Order: sequence, then structure tokens, then C-alpha cells
Amino acid sequence: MGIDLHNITKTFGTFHAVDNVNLHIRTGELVALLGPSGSGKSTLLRIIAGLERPDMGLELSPEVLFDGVPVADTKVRHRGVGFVFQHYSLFRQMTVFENIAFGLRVRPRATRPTSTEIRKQVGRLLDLIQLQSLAQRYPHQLSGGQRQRVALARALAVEPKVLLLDEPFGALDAQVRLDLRRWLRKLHDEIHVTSVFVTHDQEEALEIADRVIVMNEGKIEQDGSPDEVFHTPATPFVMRFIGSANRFRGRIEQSRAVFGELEIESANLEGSGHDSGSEGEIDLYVRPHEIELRRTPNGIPGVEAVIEHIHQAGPVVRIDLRTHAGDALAVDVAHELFDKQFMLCGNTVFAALRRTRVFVG
Amino acid sequence: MTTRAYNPLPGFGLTMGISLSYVGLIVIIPLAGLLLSVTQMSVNEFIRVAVLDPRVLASYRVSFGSAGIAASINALFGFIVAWVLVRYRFPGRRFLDAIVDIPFALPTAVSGIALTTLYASTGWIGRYLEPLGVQVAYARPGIVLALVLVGLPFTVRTLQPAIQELEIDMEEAAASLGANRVHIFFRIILPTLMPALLTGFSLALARGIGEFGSVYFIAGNLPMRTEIAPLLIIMKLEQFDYLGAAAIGTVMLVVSFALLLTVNILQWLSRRSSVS
Repeated sequence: MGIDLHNITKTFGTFHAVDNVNLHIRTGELVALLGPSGSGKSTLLRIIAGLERPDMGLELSPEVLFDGVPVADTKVRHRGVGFVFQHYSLFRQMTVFENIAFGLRVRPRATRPTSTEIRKQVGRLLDLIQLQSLAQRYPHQLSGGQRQRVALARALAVEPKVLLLDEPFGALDAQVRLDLRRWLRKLHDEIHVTSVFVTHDQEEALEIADRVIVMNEGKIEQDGSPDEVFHTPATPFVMRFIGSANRFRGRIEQSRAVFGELEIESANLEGSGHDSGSEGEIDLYVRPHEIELRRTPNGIPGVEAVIEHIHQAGPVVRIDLRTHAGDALAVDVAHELFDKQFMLCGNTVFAALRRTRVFVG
Repeated sequence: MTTRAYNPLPGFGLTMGISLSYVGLIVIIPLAGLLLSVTQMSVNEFIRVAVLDPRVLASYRVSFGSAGIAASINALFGFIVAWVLVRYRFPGRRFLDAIVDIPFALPTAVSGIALTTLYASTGWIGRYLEPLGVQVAYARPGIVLALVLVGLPFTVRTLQPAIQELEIDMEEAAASLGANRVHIFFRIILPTLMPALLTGFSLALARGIGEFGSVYFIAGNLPMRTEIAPLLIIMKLEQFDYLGAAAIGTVMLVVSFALLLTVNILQWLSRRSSVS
């Protein structure tokens, strides 16, 4: 099922949780709403579910469409959405079986399946989540990962047209989290139900989503494939939020961008929001793995910096430096390129910026 | 030789000793004294005084029956009051919250007299009920009313924290699965609150069974009809029939204990599956 959101705004008191968002989600997509806490992503998800109502605008009225049909006045229980909560929200006094069967049992008599059909359907879902042996357990007897799988099966039991997941892995241990998100991706490839999940974990979003929508302060910052948001961030916020980035503040003077001792021909700048002719404040960003440490300059723009710390325990060597201007600089060096001869604490080295992006500050 | 299991929380021996001595001194020794004094009676005598006497039997019915009805009423309305206090924000909420505690503090005789004045056939409310043929003061409804008043805080105060802890998520999850309000209430909210509701009910019941002061004024104390068991105990004491009083007291003790035990078992059953 496709979902359309038009002119969605939601305020709580004076706080703008969601600020005039427009969004189209295609049938069968697995979409991630990614952002820091307070960015409005959960509120947006709850508006899709019908758990919150968008504010009525003065000029533009908000619209939530499911397959082109307005659902603003449709109550949660008639929307046909499956909702999965961060803290599972399983019914404590019911067994795993009864939790999954709940949505079928509360149907009106006319459409309620017989108890044999319910048993079959729940059995199928228990197979799907691989918890057949735990059907008669109570939620408090399960691990976090098992509980979340039960919550997912419970949501799928009513055959929702869209699956909405609010930080589904947020309360789990790191390893369980990793397993479960791959499992969710696999599940989605099998059942193809339109799914939207909220997360503040960029790695999670980039790994499993078809499409990532980055939100900040109630607005959509970027909407694109995981590749796009990672490699071509549209805004400084996305640049900083996805992956890590070093920032240099500077300004454009004539045809040159000046960042302290670093100067770059503005024609050579990559990034958005600047014209090579205009003058003004500008920020330059460099990812830690796109910096090369050298003994001497090699023609690539760069700065001199002093090595302050070297962290070798990890997939890459993380080196913290400080430029002469006093800016902190983080650099990732592959272990095989880590040169013990000159990469020493206290040494002054040349940091060549292999790829830079600028945004108007 | 056995070694004691290591317990990281210190002070078990001391606190357990204090607890046992305290409960012993305050509760067990007086009650044991009561039971001991009853042993001075023969079994036949005991049965004649405390079980077969029709006036005494009637008073048990009045006492336990009224307390049961009052506790049930409080379970229902206390639930609603607690719900309103927890779930909604309205002007005067703190005030209403404070008022709930008043029956705890008010001398019960005062509330009994106040209710009697209101509900007597000349009272502010009683004068409108009289033409309808409804008699409250000096009748069973009056007793129930007095017990409702003294029992209300118990159900409200035990339910409030439980309602506070209800996870709204669970209700939202149920709604997203297609449940309507009735389903959500009876299948999700009520089972979750059941242990607290039973605790509140049993406390209100216990309070009602033991209540004397307020009932004394509103009941009219007509033999066979509106006499409560504690009143008969007082009457026997006034006639220096200490054994008779002790016998009635013993029956009340045993029945109350059985009732509270039953409620506790029910509570344990309803809690067993919902430990989070």
C-alpha cells in the first residue's frame, strides 16, 4: 500500500514536533525515518498510524492518504496498520499464543476466524518468528529479542497493509539488535509489506532500508537511498549526522575559499548551496577516512596538525590531531597504511584532504 | 555442618527479628489472648452463644453482608475516581485527590452523625427520599452508606499507582490490532489492574467488617435488622458477659481471616501470569 502525507504539522504546546512535512511512500518499500531524538520521526510515524492527529493548518489542511484514500478520520483500529513499539508492549497477562491471536479474536463476529483457523494462523506466524516452542510462555519469560519478534508476529497477524515500527531494536543488546535487523530485512524481502521504521541509529537505517528519510527539528533534511544520504549528503546536518565529519569554518573571498591557513580555489569545491562568485561564511567538511596523513605536502589541499592521540583497537586506526589554528581533526587510517615511523604522538604531520564538501554556514 | 547462604543485603536477622516481635506484640498476642479466653467455654456453650443465637446470626449477616456490598460499590466507584484522578488533568484535581483521604482521618462517629443528619427523614437528602419510600438512615442502606464512606480511600489509594503504571503503549497496541474500547478495557486494562483492585476490595471489606463508630449512629440498631456484630460485642461487654463477647469476636476473627485469605489467593492467581 502506498502512503501519502501532505502538509503534516504537529505541535505539542510550543514545540514543533513535525513541521510541514510532505512525503510519499511507495507500495512494498522498507523506509527508515532517521534522526536524533526530538526530530519528529516518531510523531510522524504515529500520525501515519492514527495514534496522533496532525494539526489543522490555517491555509493548507493536512492529508494522510492510504492508496489515495484519505484516512484522517479513520480510527486507529480501522486503519489496518501493524504497529510495533520500542518496548514491545506485549499483553502481560496473555501467553505468546494469545498475544498473537489477539487481533483475530477482537474482530467483529462476522469476520472473526474460527478457533481452528486462528490456531493455524498463529502457528504459521510462530513458524515465521521461529518461536513455536514458546507459544505457552508469558512475555516476562522471554528475552528482549524474543519479545520483539512476538510483537512483530502480533502486528502481522491482522495482515496489515502497512507495518510501522517505532525504534523496534532500540531496547535490545548490540548483538541481538544486529541479528534481528537482518532478520527483519529478510522478512521484508519475503512478505513485501510496506514498512516504515523509526530509528536514531544511522547504521541500522543504512543497512536495511530501501530508502532513508533523514529528519531534524521536524523537517525532512534528505530523502534518498542509503548510498545517496551517505555519499552525497544534501545538508550540513546530514553530513554531520550520518557518519562522522571534521568541520572547518571559513569564508569565500574573491574566488578562493579560506579556512584559516587552508585555501582552496572555489571552483574546485564540492558541495551545495554556494556559488563560486558569492562571498560569505562557508563550512568545509571532511570525513575521517578521506584524510591522508603525510610527512610532506603533495599538492592536495591540506593543513599541518599535531598528533594528540592514537587509538589502535578497532577496525581502523583512529588518530586525533589538532591544527595550528586549534581545530580538532579526526583521521581514520587503515591498519596496513599506519606508518609507525612518523605517526607518533606529538609529531607534526600534513593532513591531505582527499575529498571535501562545503556548505554555506 | 552447614554454611549459611551468603546474602549480600545485610541486616536480615535483625530486621526479621524486629518484624516478628512487632507483629507478635501488636497482632498475634492480643488475638491469641482472645482465643485463649474462649477456651474457658465449653464447645456447646460457644455454639449456643456465638453461632446459634438468631440475634447474633442476624448481626453477622448485617456486618459481613453490608461490608461486602460496600466494598463492591467502592471497587466500582473507587476505580472510576482513581481513573479520573490519574488519567485526566482538570482544575481542582489536587483538591479532589486530598478529599479522598478525609475518611481516613475523620473520627468515624462524626461521619456517622453527619450521614444520619443528612439522610434522616427530616434531613436535606432524606426528606426527598422519604416520599419515594426509600429509607436510608436507621436501615440497611444507611449501614452500607457509612461503610462506603469509610472504605472509599482504600480502593482509590490502591488503584491509583496501578493505573499510573498502566502502559499506554499496550492500549495503543490493542487499538492498532483492531480492538474497540470495550475490548481494551475488559481484556487489557481490567486484567492488569485486577491484583490492585482485589487488594483495594479486601482492604475496604476488612475496614467495613471492623467498622463500629459511624454505623452505630446511622444504623438505628434494631435487633435482628440493623444490629452489627461489633455492637453486640459492646452490648455483651456492658453486661459483663466477657466470654460471650469473646465468642462473637472469635467467630468474626475466623470469618474475616477466611475472607481475606480467599481474596489473597484470588490476587495471587491473577498476579501469577502478569509479573513483568
